[in-house]
Amino acid sequence: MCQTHTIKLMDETSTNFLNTFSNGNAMVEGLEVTEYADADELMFHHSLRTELDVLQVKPRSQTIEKILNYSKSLR
Amino acid sequence: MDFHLKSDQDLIHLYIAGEEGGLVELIRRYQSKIYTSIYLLVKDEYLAEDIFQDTFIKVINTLKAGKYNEEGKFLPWVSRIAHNLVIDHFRREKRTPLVSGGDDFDIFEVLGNYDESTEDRMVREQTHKDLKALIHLLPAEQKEVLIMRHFGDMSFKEIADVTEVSINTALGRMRYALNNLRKMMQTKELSLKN
Repeated sequence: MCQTHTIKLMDETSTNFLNTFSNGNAMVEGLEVTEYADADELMFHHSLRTELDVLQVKPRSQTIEKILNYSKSLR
Repeated sequence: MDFHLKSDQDLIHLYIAGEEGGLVELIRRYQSKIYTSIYLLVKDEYLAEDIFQDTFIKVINTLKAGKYNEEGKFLPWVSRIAHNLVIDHFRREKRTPLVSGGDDFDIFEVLGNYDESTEDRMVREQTHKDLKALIHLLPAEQKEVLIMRHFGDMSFKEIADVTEVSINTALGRMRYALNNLRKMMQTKELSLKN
């Protein structure tokens, strides 16, 4: 049991979420997950990632300047 | 020197060696993801700016002190710092970090214009508006994992560590977030572009 859990952890750190979908045993702890991911789920996640990327915004340039000035002050 | 061609590790080494351009490139490379993840959590532009600044001050101090762990990836490390600062803020404020609905923040208002027809633009804007609203309707824990995973490039183990839950719980929250979003979008007959 313990060994199995360790293997799951190692798997997780080297795979992305899409891969973990197929690992149903990794999602059991009080979660009542009974279904495994299907192709629709994977396609949905892929599409969602594209849309989430559009959400990205940048901080103000003044904020960046303050950070860089702080860095230079440490020289 | 072509900083944009350098790896994160190379940039860190250059910065530690006194080359400010290393830090400039690291910020340029990841400012959007880090800032957006903070912004989506705190839903306040000015607060997000402050936390973003504090995050990089911590990054600078750690790098200058030679305490950066070479084994970790830069973005997840910075995302973890940012997330901890967000949590610190809400602890000070004594309120929960993620509140569903009721905000007037519209992230799409600050996006650039697209080269597309008015109709396409309106559809796109509405889709984004709906998606943003649906994300904010997610339970706080699910929204948090979704943001850390997508924008912070954090592994589920890192997310589990930061949020102090088991890795299975973090995985489950992500899956529930996706399933809930999907169901809500189906209900609203909202579709995403592939």
